[in-house]
Amino acid sequence: MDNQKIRADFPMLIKHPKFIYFDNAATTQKPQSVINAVTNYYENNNFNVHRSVYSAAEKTTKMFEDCRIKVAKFINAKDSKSIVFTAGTTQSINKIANGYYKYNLKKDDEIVVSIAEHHSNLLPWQNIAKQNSAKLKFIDINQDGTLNLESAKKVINAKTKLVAITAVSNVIGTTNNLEALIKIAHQKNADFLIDAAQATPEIKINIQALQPEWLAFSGHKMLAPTGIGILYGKKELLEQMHPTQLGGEMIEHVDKDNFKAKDIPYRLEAGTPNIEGVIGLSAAIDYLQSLGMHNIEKYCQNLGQYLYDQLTKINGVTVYGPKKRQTGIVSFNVDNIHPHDAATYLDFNHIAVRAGQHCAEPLTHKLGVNATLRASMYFYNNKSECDELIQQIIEMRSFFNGN
Amino acid sequence: MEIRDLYQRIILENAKKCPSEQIQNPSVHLHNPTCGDDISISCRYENHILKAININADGCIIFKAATSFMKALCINKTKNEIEEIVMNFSEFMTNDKKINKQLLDDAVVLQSVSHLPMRIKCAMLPFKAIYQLVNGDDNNR
Repeated sequence: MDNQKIRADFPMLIKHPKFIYFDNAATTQKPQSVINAVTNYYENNNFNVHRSVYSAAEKTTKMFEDCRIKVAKFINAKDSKSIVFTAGTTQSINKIANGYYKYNLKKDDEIVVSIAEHHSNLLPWQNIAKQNSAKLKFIDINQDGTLNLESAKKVINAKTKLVAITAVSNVIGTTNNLEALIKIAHQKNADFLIDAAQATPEIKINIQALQPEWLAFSGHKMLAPTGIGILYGKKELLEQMHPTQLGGEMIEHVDKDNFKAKDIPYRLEAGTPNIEGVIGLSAAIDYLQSLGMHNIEKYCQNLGQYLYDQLTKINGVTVYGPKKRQTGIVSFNVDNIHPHDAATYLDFNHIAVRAGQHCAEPLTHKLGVNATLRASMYFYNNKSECDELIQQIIEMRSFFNGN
Repeated sequence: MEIRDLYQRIILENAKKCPSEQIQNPSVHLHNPTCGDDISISCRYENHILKAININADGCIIFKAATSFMKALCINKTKNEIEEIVMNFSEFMTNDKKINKQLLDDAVVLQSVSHLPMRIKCAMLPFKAIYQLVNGDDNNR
């Protein structure tokens, strides 16, 4: 992958050449092709979908529905009817919780999550467990932050109805062994939900190989606009799902040729959808596939490893997670410097990193800290940016600690 | 603004002085969920004057320095005086209204923080804590 050529595709990177953007786990920058797709939609194809019979709107509807097929192929799902457009991962998981498990979870049933979940894959389950008098149980992590499979085998049992686990930790950047976890869950007849928010940007997801019941991800973490996300569900489960939003549109699709009222996925998409988001997501997937997901994964892994190796060479820097890096996400702390002060210092030196608990408070507590710094890199970042971060951290230590 | 303006020597020194005392039953406990700044506080009044403030605080430099400044400003003050200090500091952090800088003493060195919206919360937390403390249910003020 030619880093300079890739960077030229991202207007933000070109317009702000001194700025080092290491907060990609929060959101990614957008390539020109995505911006153009959204602009082109507003300039030429700004018509509502599924309603109007004039050809211009039909064309927009086709662009919209073609993206559904594209998303299905992107995650290798068999049927595009399994793809529901949502506002993002958070809304996808909330729909699954409030539209399905609310009606299918009995007293004393159990939901299993891990201690490393993003709040989006924790709070909906806390809530449903309370409402339905079910129990919420946790899979523990190993010393190096990876998920403990022995713990998973103990926690997942015949009472477990759902196992909801992230594919990639948004804090320490570990990838979880989904094959093994899904096997354990399915052996106990439990459903499996993959929170893929942090995985789809970097890792090829293969639904047909993994066979999860559910999967959720967001567009904006993989080059697409904010406010667009995906809920994948096995068709038989989506068909039993109660719409959590009701509106006329979900039963009045006027495009007589292609759609039936109340069929999935449309009955789960009440109201005018985020059309620009879908168009942008489509262009984002095209861009990612032009680079190749395998190449992106390898590049981010290498960059994550490079930063990890450089950081661990500095005295007084603690890096969280395993020695062998799997993604471009690296969380760390510098002795005697609070992450907020460190992030402000780096900000003054044009480096954007995140400081805090990264919406995963139970995990930061488990790591024994109040907060961490997180550098999350993507395929447009490079080693010279890592070197600049390292240099700034060394200077920061002498600034704050005098050593 | 330079990074030196934000982290002046007096701020770094006061951050080091930030109290971390064991407090059994704090009257007020506040926590900043984004960064983990955490303060527990209790106090003792004599004749309506705040004679002792016990604080257990941990967090970033801005927060810890602000905590030290707050303690120095509020000791031996009445409830009304403390409220005036907090109001002045709050306006100092959030807008350009004319404030009584004398009331804030050394805490005026935190001025740079007012240019960083994400860090204002760090400086405000100890002042919010003392405000809640003097307006709490304790009967002994």
